Amino acid sequence: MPQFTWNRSAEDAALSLSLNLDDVEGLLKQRMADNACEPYGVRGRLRTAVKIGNRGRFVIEFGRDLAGRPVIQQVYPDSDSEA
Amino acid sequence: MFQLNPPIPFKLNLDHTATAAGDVLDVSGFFGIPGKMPAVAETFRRGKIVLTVDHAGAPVFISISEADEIDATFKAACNDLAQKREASAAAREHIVRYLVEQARSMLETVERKRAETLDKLRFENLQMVS
Repeated sequence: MPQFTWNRSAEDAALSLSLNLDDVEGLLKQRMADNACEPYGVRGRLRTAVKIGNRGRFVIEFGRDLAGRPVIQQVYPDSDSEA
Repeated sequence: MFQLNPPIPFKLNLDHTATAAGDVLDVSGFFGIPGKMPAVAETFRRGKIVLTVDHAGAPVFISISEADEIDATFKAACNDLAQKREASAAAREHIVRYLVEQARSMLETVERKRAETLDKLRFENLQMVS
């Protein structure tokens, strides 16, 4: 079972969106098990979109630390709006 | 005391992660007080920048993934954090100015696109379909 860690701003962002951190971790773990995460960025970062309860869809971005643990780097509402 | 232009609270977060591919700096900022943020209504992306806004279009949260690649000041801040040192005050100001500049630029783009959409929304531009 992967031991998740959060970076500080990702945790702050999730809390500001009133997301339950356990739910976010649980859904990410499930998406990782389903191999449903897409590469993003240039340093092995992955991201996936998850539906969290009745809160709608959110994007979770994560990388891995030196020990190989998933580090949740960003959490934000899903949107395709380019600005 | 009543103020015509009250300052906008801003909280800067600098996050460093050591990965097998190198040190990574993620930067984010809250336009308000964390824990008392308004509901997010929309999200906009530009490359590695994500900006969320409330129902009135005011910025709520901005974040940049792998921000150490932006310029030498970001890289220096990343190196400081990797060495367990605080980023310098000058670097923090530089980063906040960059975040504000990016937020303004993204909101200006959104406003321009919406103005263009509004301009097209006229009876003579409609094509009736069955």
